[in-house]
Amino acid sequence: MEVHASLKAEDIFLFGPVAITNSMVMSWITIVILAAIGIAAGRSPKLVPTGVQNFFEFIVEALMGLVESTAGHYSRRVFPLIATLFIYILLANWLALAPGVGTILIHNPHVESTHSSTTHAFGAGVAEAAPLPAEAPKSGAAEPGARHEREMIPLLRAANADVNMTLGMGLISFLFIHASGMIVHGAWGYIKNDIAKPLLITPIKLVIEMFVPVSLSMRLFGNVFGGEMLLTVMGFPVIAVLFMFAELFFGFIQATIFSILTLIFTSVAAYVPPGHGHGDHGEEEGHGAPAHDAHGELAPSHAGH
Amino acid sequence: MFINFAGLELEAVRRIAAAMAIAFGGVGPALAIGIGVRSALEAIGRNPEAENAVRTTMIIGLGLAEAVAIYCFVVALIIAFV
Repeated sequence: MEVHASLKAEDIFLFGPVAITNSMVMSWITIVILAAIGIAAGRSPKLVPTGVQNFFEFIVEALMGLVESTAGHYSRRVFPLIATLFIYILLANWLALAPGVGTILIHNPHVESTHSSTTHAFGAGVAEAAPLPAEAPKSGAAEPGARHEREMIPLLRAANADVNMTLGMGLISFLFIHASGMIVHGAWGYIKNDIAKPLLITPIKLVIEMFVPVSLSMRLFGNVFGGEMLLTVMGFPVIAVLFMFAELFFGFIQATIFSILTLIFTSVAAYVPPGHGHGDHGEEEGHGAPAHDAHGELAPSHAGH
Repeated sequence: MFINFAGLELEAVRRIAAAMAIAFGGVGPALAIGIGVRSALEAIGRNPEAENAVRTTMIIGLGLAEAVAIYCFVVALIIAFV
């Protein structure tokens, strides 16, 4: 059985110099669905919620409880990003299991110009390790399969089965983590006390911090892409259904882990030691919530990561 | 080890390497997940009120342990396809 597998998201068509890939189409579908549900839920909010609004309030309240248990008194400031990441990744992962994703094939719009596809802005940026050397070391035996692969490409591909998508979100998390650290401690204070405190291990700390977005994005990408491949390989009746249930669970777990890890790293970066309560700059309503209990036990997970 | 890699085709070596990457890379995370779940179950057994907190922390820890397997999977994919 020839399994269609490509590490890189394929181009559907070209929009000027920008290649529109099948993963991008899938992420737009996710965005449109989320926006439609959001507008429907918030159009006429009622005090006693019903229907869509009720469902959304349930999700938001559950997430809020989770965020508050970790972030403490500034949970309302970090909540929008964490909840957005969670809801978006969850819906994207679950939409990847919808019928038609990866199975509807279209003709590749530029079969003859396969090498030009490597110069596109979005394709070449992150996934350059994947597609570029693919042509060169291919032995003669694999050549027919590779050519067949280029002719028919799936119209839809899971949004998170593209490194560009997940690395983009990972970089957003990275910026958010350190921006919140700098907002709480001040830019120089954050660099001096949190990054460069034991001066000897600052390079190691820098490497660890740089690895956070890579780790976040590779985890999500590997899970979603691996799930897609698993479902393709296990494409028998009944068995595939069992793996579908597993994928529903994994999609939820990965969405949780991505958002919760962002939250924990943010809490660690914005952590004010109990003795040094320097009236947290601009942080809302310092109502003396003992938010440090959660940090104390969560901080070691940062070091162990 | 006992295979004469020099005599094999590049494609064969690539497939063996990818399989070995995920096979050896899966051992550690499997042990880690087992130990993590065992400890979480012991914690819940001792203190059933803390079940929610333990479960949340356990799932995060399992995700971190599983990530190692996922890295190996990504490496195996890169070996196999690139």
